[in-house]
Amino acid sequence: MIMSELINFKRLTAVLGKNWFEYRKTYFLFFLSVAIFLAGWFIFVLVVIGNRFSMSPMDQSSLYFIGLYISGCLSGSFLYQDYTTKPRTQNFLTLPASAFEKLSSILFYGVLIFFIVYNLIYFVTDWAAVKIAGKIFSPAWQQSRGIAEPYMRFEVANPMSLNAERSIFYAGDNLDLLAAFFPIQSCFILGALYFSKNSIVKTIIFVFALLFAFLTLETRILLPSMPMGTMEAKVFSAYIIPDADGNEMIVAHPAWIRDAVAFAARFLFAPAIWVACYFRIKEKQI
Amino acid sequence: MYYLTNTPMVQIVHLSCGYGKKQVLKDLNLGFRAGNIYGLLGKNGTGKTTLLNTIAGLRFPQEGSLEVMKYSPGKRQPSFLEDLFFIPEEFQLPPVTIEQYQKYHSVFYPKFNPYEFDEYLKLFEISKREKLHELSYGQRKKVLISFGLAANTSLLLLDEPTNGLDIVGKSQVRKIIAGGFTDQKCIIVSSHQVKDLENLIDHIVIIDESGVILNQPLSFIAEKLSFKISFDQRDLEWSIYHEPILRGHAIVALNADGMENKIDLELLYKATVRQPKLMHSIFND
Repeated sequence: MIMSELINFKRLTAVLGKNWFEYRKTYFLFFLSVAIFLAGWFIFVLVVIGNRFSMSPMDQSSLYFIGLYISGCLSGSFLYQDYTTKPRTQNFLTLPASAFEKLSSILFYGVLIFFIVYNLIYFVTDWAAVKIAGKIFSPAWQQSRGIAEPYMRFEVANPMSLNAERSIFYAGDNLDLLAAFFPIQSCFILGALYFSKNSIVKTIIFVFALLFAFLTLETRILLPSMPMGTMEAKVFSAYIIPDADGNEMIVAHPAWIRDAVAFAARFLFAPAIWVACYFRIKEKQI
Repeated sequence: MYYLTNTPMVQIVHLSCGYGKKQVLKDLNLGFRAGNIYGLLGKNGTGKTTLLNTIAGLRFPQEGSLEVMKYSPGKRQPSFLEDLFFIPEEFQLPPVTIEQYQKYHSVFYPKFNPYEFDEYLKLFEISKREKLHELSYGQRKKVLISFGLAANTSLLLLDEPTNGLDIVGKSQVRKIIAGGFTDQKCIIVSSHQVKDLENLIDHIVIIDESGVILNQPLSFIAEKLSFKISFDQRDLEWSIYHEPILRGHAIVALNADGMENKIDLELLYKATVRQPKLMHSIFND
């Protein structure tokens, strides 16, 4: 295939421009609803649960990931649900651009722009919530309630901060949670391209079925075939076999296996699903 | 350059296509050449839309081969798609003004002519400032037809273009399609409303469940067949097809004197559907 048939910068910018122009109201409404959800959550936390731990780093990061997963998966499904109706699919498929350019447009808005805008919205609402919490649950408030414990001042969990202490992702597990988000969101984009009706429900069923199959494989086939023991908490690191005397024999996997799996989970799963999306666009018929 | 040669712009060889196990088109052989406006006729469910979808690359052949402007449509290459415009029966347009639609869509069609687009819209009496989602179905269809013609693609596919249009609208569409036609283009118009294609097409293709039952230029049909109203009972005996009308009978018969006459598309269609073997022998033997 000639390179210009795969990607042409002028055509790509035209596809991006067209997508923005036609869907800008939908994007605006979507992000507005995300902002309302986050602000509503913070108001709920401050007004209903309201205590001096309301804006703890744990609470802030929990909301960050809950919001990210829900809105990310919904955006993946809803924003591209248009491609499931016959007339829109016709427009999409007959648009003079390559499948790669069409996919790039989907990923540009659905993954990149979504992630940037979500972080901005989160930062603004979280910043406001933390400042308000600081004012409400002040040392004076603590004194008036007769709380003797030292006053704890919480910082804004800034998702864009590169400072390890202030970044929302500084804890290792949070980074894994972020890495897992992109493949899962990509599954919903793939679902929207694959299923012609009720794509969101079908994708959820599919993801859970996959998870169920994986757990069944692990618990019913792999573990029974191994000596009695337990997996190390860190996946793919070691297997612990206790002997009769209560001693433990640790069978450690080579470090590169865990590193390779971690690398694949963080950086390869999502691109692999994007490749599947590309072929789905290529093979899609009406 | 298809108009300079005799090579078909669309070449269909033993094409079978369908949905799952159900084959809608079976072993179809056809060619569509530049410089013609084809009328693709057939009953509902005979595969007209499927054929257009397949030519546009929206469906893939199950068997046989299909070549459109030397491309394999199923690959949907940008250079192929920018030289083809498909106006489906069901369509959806974005909620933008016509001006904005032109701005963001015309960039994909290198031969798009904005002056022609303005001209067509003027003929349809539609303002470019109108919002597409506020227009009626018929008006939106007129905008899409105007855009498709102004795109100046070599191949223009129209699926039931007159559906949803009023009498004046149908006449306007016919005029504009005929006006926007050049020798470099090939236009394929599918319809089950035969009358709507009158004074527009110059070549007719009729398909049924068994395949192509008539594929001839109208000029040749006019040489071979005569269409007339007869009050003479003896004419009926020699006719290929006849049907009673208010006074006398409308008949299709062999054109014995070879004088060209006006083709009644509806009668031709009915005659072909009722007497496919006889019509085949008239045109192919």
